[in-house]
Amino acid sequence: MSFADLPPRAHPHTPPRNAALPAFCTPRVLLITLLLGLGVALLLAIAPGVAEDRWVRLGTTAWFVAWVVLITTGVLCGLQKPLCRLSLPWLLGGVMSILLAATGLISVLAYQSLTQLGWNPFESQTEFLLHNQAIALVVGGMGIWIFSLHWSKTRRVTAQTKAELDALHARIRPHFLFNSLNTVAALIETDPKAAEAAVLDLASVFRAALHAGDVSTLSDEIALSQRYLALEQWRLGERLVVAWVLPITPLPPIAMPILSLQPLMENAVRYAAERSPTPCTIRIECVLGKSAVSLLIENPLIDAAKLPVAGGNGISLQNIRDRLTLMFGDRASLRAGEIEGQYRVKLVLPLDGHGGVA
Amino acid sequence: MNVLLVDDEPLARARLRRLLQVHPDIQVMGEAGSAEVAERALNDEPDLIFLDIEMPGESGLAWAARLRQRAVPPAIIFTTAHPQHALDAFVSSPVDYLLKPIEPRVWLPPSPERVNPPARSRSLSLGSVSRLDGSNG
Repeated sequence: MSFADLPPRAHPHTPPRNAALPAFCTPRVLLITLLLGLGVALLLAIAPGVAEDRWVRLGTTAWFVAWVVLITTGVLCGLQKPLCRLSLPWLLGGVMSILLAATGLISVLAYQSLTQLGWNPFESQTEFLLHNQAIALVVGGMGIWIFSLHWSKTRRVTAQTKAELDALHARIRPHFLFNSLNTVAALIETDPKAAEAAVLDLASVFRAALHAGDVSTLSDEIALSQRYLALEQWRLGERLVVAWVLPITPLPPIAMPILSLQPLMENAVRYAAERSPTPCTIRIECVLGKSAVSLLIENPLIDAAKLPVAGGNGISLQNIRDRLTLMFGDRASLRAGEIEGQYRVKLVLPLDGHGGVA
Repeated sequence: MNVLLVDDEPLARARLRRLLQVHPDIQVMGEAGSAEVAERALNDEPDLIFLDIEMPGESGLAWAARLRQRAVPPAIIFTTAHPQHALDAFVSSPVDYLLKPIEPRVWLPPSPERVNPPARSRSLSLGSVSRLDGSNG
């Protein structure tokens, strides 16, 4: 059982695990791929050292490349669904194999038919095949490389935009925004200093939501979480008990995606403290290891029957996970689960690097 | 008029209590942080209940619906940050539906002698509305 981290069936709009492959079935992508293929044909035709007539060579090469492109695109389009289930290295390998297979097939067909038509090749069929395969490997490799650069950038932008939207959405959730403002309105008369502190806490939480694409540091994220919890503390009073267990030594200057810790606190508040009529303890522990920092967030399970609907309004664990992966690869992890009546989230960050984002 | 304040947030109750102080007719007879606690306070027969909707345990809407079943149901004014509950709240015929943060000039305790005044235009007003400013007392 977990909130915000339900299995995929709970997220009807979750895209396939690997949405790296563009929509090869669209005419636009087909046209672009054909044009790129014709560019390669043009390069091969104008390359120095060609003995035959360049126009003839351009014609035959273009014809050849066009068929390779059409077959490859057609197969990719047909196999889109199974391919998308592969992990990225397998996907790239699969795409490359399809390209090489298509090149091989067309090479053999072209060699056979052209020699029957009276073409006098300088090389054997095997050499012709191998040369064509080598060209396909180089051109395909460059294509895949450029594409994966483009894709990782798109993925980063998407994850950040989603985090930003989710964060803003969570902030303007009436339950949070208007209840917080009501808290401030209540404090202004009785405790103006506290009201000021609450307004400043509210400002910092909003500021973070407006910059959800940015990179923060571990200590800033902890500070943001503390300000957020201070705000909820005003609201919930004695029903919210926050226990921080931080190391005595200063925190290492680890970069991490902004809003990767505070939403975990927010989940704990929403699904435990807000639902609990009695004091509810949220425990946050930060453990410094030799190669990693672990953050543990624990809260009691309250009212398990009233589990949130999928996604909820907060930033989902999956989104935090995506942004951690973009920054640290597989060296960071975020796990959540139920242990002895407690809901526990564990966030692990590597100590050795500052992430892949400058 | 005896008033009961039901809200899970202590500061929200404190603010309501303060806003009510200007109204001489009203005595706040008690506070409760949940419907369960408020249920016990019903023995003191409150005339009016200020009721939050999202609370731990039974929601304000569900409790209000049960209150309607009583022989002499107390009047209810919902206080919530959520405008979207207004339609559901209508079922329990509340006197009013106030959005937090509550504006002192807008909310109103219904005084017995002014039942059904001419409707003032207020989008969320579900019942009779009188105003604190000007003519209270």
